[in-house]
Amino acid sequence: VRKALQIALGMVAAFGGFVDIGELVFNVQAGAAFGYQLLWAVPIGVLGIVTYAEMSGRVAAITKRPVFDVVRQRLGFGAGLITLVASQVINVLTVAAEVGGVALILQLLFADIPFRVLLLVSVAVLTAIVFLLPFSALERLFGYGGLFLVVFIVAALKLRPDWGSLAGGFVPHWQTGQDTLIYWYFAVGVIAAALMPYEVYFYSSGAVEDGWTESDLGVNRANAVLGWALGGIFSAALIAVSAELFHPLGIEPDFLGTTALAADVPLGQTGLLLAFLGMLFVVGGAALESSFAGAYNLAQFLGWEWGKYRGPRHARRFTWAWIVMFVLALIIVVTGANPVLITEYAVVLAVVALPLTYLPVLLIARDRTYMGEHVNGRLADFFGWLYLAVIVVISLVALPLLFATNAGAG
Amino acid sequence: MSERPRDNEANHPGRSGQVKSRQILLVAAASTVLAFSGCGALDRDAVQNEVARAASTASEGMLVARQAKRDRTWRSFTEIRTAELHGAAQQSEQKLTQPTEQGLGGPAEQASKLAAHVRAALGSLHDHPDDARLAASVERKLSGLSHDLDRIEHRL
Repeated sequence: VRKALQIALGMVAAFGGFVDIGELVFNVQAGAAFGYQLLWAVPIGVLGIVTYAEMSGRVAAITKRPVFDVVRQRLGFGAGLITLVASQVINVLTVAAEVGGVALILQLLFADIPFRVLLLVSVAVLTAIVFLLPFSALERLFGYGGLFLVVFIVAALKLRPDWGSLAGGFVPHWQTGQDTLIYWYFAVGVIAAALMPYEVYFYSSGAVEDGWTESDLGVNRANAVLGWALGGIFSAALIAVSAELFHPLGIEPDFLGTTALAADVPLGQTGLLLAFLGMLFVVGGAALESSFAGAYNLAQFLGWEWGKYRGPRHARRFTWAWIVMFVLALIIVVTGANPVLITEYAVVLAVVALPLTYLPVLLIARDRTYMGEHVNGRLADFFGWLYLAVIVVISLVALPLLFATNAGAG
Repeated sequence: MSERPRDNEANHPGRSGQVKSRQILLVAAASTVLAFSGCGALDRDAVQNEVARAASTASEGMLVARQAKRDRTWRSFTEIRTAELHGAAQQSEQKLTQPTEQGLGGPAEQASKLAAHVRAALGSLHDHPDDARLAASVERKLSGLSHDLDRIEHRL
């Protein structure tokens, strides 16, 4: 019973923690610009993150090696260093986008307080929460809090979707005509938002923090496969609600407040409150996950003591590393950079670094010397190689699309 | 005192090619800077995008006003959303006053005036977010402005 409860709780936390500011921005923009047409990109992104999260969790449970340990070992120092630098740049941008997002959400509640004050408060509160709570409590607090986003599923249903068009949106199609590049930019954005590399860094290091062993492989599978696959429903709901509400009016969502409006219009003040809470938890959770991901990467690459469970005294450099991530993010946003725009750049740039992160995970997961009987099966191998190919293609087209479409603005 | 040799092609064969490539690079860099800084006349796509953005701002403002009219939202939400959209309308208004390519000046000027009306309507709701009557009038106004801007966009 205890095991079943552990699996269920982990799954619910993964379910609630799936969405971050990337989805809140890209999916709502995609729905507003193309209606239901880009829904197909959601399962593609979800299946990719499920494949690699399950693999990295399994590798961590069996070998006790989180992702960046594996990266350094399989790629060597030179290529590993390039991967480290690229992923740290993306992690800092992601933390900046997320803490800026938290401040933007708070500003929707406290209109009279200046944005910079709210930004400082956001970083201070997040830092205090991370200091005070143990790792498992952090995971659960933000994961369960993210479940408030269920309001967007209710909102989408309340707006009475056109079920035929909605179902049709899950069938990929080749867009032609004037908006072709913008269509593909958002397709890449929706897929990339689901595949953000910090999620895998955090997930696999978290497996080591939680002391996973062979007996936790069921928990790993449930979290990655069921939790995140269900989390994809939130992602799809954001596209659907935007397709129903914003697309017919030609609204181009450039603010996080527009996402909250999507719950306010059909559900009123209750919907707005739940949307705020959900957004606050998922974006706040992603801020701490991405700051931890940066600290994990650095510590694992340089061989420092790491882990929240060791405490600041025993993992001093690791603790400083995640604090520095928050400080760098704060500096970026304080300069006046728009968090929504930073999100778009972080998501698209992240794609470029993905192959270097995922290839070593795949190689270790299919290596019997390390994994023994828990080596990749045919299905994991098939999806692993398939998604590596998808990621390589996306990484080649992501930057040209970003510049050619002026970040989707046309 | 010996005269310093002049830095000409006779002294440096192949330098002329380098100078030319440098000039080409400079021209390319200058064009890139101009293109990205938004200087130069707005072309049809740029005007159309900006008109669409102004129409989007009006439509979103209309939704915010409708919620305020029905008392289905929070005062703080109305305040901050109208402030954000006010800023967006102002940006569109200013951008549409920039020089445009031939034949686009009229529609751009007309759209800029409409964006100014959008800005003003949002500003009034921002100042009185609790006033349901005002919210109803702003909703109607923004709905009309959004349609007018849509018409200009489609004419372009």
